[in-house]
Amino acid sequence: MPDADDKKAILYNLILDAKRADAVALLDDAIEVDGFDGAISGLLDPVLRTIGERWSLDSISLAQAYVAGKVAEDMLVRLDSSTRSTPPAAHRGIAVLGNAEDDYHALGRRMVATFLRLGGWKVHDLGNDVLSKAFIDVALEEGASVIGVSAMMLTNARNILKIREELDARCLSGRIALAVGGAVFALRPGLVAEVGGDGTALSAVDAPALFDRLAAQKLLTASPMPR
Amino acid sequence: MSDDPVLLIGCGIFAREFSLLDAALRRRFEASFLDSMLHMRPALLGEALAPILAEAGERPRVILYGDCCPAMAEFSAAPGACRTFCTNCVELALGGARYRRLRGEGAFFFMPEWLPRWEEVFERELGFLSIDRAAEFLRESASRLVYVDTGSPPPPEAELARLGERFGLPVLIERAEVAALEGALRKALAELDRRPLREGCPEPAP
Repeated sequence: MPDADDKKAILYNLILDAKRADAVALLDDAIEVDGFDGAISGLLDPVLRTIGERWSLDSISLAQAYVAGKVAEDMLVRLDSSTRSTPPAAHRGIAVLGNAEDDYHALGRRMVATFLRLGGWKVHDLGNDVLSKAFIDVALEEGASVIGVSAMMLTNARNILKIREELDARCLSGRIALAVGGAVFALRPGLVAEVGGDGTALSAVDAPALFDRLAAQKLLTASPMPR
Repeated sequence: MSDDPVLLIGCGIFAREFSLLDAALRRRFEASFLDSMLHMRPALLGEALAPILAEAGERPRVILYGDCCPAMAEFSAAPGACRTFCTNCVELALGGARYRRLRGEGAFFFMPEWLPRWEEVFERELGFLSIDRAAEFLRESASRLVYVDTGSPPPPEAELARLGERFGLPVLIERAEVAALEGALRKALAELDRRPLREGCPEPAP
């Protein structure tokens, strides 16, 4: 009988070998034993955190990250159709996600959306190449507490500064937090402050904790009413 | 600026197109090209470029790359350096407006230099192991495949048809003149001429 570490190693290798169905079957078995929350927090989360960290360091392939994201999506479907007694949807908060202006690298953003939903966030995913005004307009319409922006390359990441400038201009800084992420942030840690980000996460798995923290900080911050 | 040739350190994606440029322009450069597959490994690309650019000292040099690795900003800002103005090779070839329109429409691009090894790119470099898995990924993220025809060689019609069939996506051909590369290099040279020798170019030459 494999122990918890063995199961993590098996799941990790199944994902890296692109054996999505086998990975999901292993997680289904874990759900039977540990329940949904136990399988996610005890098995899927740690494995995907490792994969996310390795992806940010260029040491796993795009395909392996893609399969990891699909396995997480499969678990989200399980969650939606499960009889979980305490459905988490919208309990944590509302977030708006998108890729920065001119950025079309969707995979990381989709993984973040999946993990936020698994973590109990209601997510409005605006897709690729989103302008600063659209991020903020939707955040206001939906009552979002966090805007999450993904960018892969430095040039596109610098477009995030436009969102910060617009938040400032509309007196929304402090009311709506700005989370930033993508490969370039892992390699240039100073970039978060340069583009006006309130925080970043090393991998998609860590995004819910970041969004939770930013939403909590927002509650402690007084700010003027928006224009 | 002296009459010594300017160093050109570029991505191999443009090596063939460079060889087709006007001879007088080519003589302005001492050119070397790195394997375009480094695009798939941004950190490794930075590691490959760093010693080459360091060895150049303050000698005038044009970096024929897009925003392809995190250190590109520092490489461009070093004394004597100037980078071509583009986010990536496709934007340089097609121009910013056409590139953004096509990206917005869901295009996935193939440059001529990559086409003969598209199976290697997807199976090995991107790690999909099989084209069927790559096709699943691509159909989720793209609505069409776009071959950027730089005029050299002529579009390989049969291979493009096979590409479309394997991925289950339509294939379009977008004509891109080699003049785009020529223009980018001339702008970079003009920028080097304009600036004091010891000054780098924090942003790409506009």
